[in-house]
Amino acid sequence: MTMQRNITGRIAVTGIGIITSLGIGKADNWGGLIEGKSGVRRITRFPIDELRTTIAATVDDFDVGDNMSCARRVRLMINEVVAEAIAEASSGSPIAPLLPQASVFAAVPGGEEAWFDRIGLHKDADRKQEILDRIQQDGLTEYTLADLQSRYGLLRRPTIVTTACASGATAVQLAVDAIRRGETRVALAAAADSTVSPEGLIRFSLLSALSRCNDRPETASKPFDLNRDGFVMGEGAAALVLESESHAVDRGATILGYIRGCGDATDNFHRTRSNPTGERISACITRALDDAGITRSDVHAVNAHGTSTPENDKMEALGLRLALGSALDNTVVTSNKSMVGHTLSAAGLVEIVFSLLSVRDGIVPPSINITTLDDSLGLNVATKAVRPPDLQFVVSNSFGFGGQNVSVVVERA
Amino acid sequence: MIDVVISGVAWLSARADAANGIVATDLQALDWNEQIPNRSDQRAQGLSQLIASYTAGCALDQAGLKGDAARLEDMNLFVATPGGERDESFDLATVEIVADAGNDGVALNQQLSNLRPSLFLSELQNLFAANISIAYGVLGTSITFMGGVDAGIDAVELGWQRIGDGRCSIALVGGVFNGFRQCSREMHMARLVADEAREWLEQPAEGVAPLGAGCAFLVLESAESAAARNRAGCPHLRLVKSLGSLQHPDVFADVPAPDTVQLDTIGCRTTAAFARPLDAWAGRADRRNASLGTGALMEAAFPLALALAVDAGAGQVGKTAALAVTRYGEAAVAMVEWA
Repeated sequence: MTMQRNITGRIAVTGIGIITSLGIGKADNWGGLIEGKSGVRRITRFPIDELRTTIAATVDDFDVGDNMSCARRVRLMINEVVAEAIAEASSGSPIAPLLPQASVFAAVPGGEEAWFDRIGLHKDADRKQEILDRIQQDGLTEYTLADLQSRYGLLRRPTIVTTACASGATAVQLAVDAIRRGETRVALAAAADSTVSPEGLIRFSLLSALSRCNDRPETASKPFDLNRDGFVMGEGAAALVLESESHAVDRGATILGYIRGCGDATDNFHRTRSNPTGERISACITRALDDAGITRSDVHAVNAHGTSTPENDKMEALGLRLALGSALDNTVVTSNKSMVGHTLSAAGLVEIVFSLLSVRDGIVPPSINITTLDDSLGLNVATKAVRPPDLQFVVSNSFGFGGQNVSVVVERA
Repeated sequence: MIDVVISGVAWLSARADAANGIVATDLQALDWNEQIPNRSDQRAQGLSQLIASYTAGCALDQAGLKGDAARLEDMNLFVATPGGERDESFDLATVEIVADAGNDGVALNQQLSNLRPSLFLSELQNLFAANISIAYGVLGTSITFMGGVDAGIDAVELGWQRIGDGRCSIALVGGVFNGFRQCSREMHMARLVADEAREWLEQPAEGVAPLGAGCAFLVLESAESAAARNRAGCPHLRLVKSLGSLQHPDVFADVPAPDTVQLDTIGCRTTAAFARPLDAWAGRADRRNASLGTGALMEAAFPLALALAVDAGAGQVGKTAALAVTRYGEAAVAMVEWA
């Protein structure tokens, strides 16, 4: 079979799957997000003694069996969101026959130590085989997607990527590239994260990155607020089925929206801080607009990275202003993280999903918990759900430690 | 498809031993100052990260690109790593202390509260790439790959594809693996138990694999870009391809026969299943398997096989193949040719 090379045009999204602290599946998530519901709560999964931050946007109503490791949760959530996306992509005609040839790009965390397994391996000879089996199943990154490979008969092994907190957006970017290149007709992009663990919380606390508003969890994540004090860690997963527009039309699939363009810019100013000029964030957004072939005034809404750390929101506002200029004044900005927390490796894809649902329904969800808007940011923040008159394009930003910036332009079907 | 050449190659390896930790100490003896001028950059990195940054710097030197800010600004960076850096002594202490406390959750929190601020987070595998960007000013698209041998294949393949497509003109691609780390050995032990592949190991004592530690980076470049810099004699990278299962009889159907083959097979499940297609494809080629000398290098295996293929074929005319096998028993091949 000869593939058509270097496909131009839009990349269609024909299937979407999502899990966050707001629920499992699109209906609960989108409903909760428009209502302005917070998924942040006190952590109950493990002891919180000694922890400075004791809240997170956890996924609690999801069965992971008796193995509570982060890796197990990541693997099962990926399976779930991919199944949801594939079921939806089969609405017009079955996609299953196309899946063996599909390219798969997944963003997952390497994850912190599964301490109790590691200790058991050293100290508990009776359980050695049991623990090795668990590590075999859930402790190795290359097994995370083994279920997908066998379930859908993938001929090409999935590619696993990380760009820290931009990982989910990078998975989409690579999937779009693979379709444009003609390497595949159908691609899956998937991402999941479950870093809510004692070590994950302690290490991010040591970087002064986490909110300490433990007393009122639901108000802790407050991007763009003057008193924002850090991000709230979240868990979640998301997946997309992607194909070229013509391929989707030809097979009679329902197109949910488009990935119109992607851009990235690497920042080498500092391992955890952005270049203070905002130039790299600006370059990232501008490259995404260029790739999409749209102008600054076409950006009707921005789904911000908006972590609720003092530094991120300030730098993102600066980068947006540099990239969009006065057009930013006519653009509404929101942060999904105000409700679902920062889902780290999954955040980019979770927020692209919400951006797609946004253009589908013509609604920009609210950025909640703003009591005193930080006016110095100069952003037109959606403190309530808004319906812009013609919501065609949304820019979704994702930035990661290590100087990773990725922006994606989402378009209405 | 744009012609891709290899204009810089650097690699290093050392053996790690299950019982004794470091056997060969040459990695420790490296002078990081040779490549990483800034002391604060050195302090921010652990051993695995230093190995990666050092090797990447050597590859840039060899390609004549160090300090070429204009080209480095557009250089893509694709790195394969097994995980973020960790503090090994702290981890080992944690195992002992929490085990003594009866594997109790509160005791774990108490011990972990002794951590100090650092960027040694498992989550931040991409800091290997970030350190390279910071040290040398590599500022193009930067993506980190995970997942064993596969990750190293992905890093090389994406660099080749993007230059071939004209998405970029230069890429720094490579992988790093540090088998000195206790957690690496434990993870690998789990792999081997599952794969029943102990017969592959040189030193199967206690069921622990003789993991290696090593790193390889290559500078891939469009032939046009290399010519513009007057880099003559660079070998061509004709093909980078994941081939699927080696048990499939037609696995090498579209791959030209090589004159020499650089194998990395220490991670594979069985030799017997691979012997037939390999013989059919490369029966007359001179085969070398350096992985028996370096130990299993996982994420670094494919970049290292490619680096060794370039070294082995240098000055010759003909095609040299680098071959790696993933844990699923799938092959990936890179074909290097001297004009």
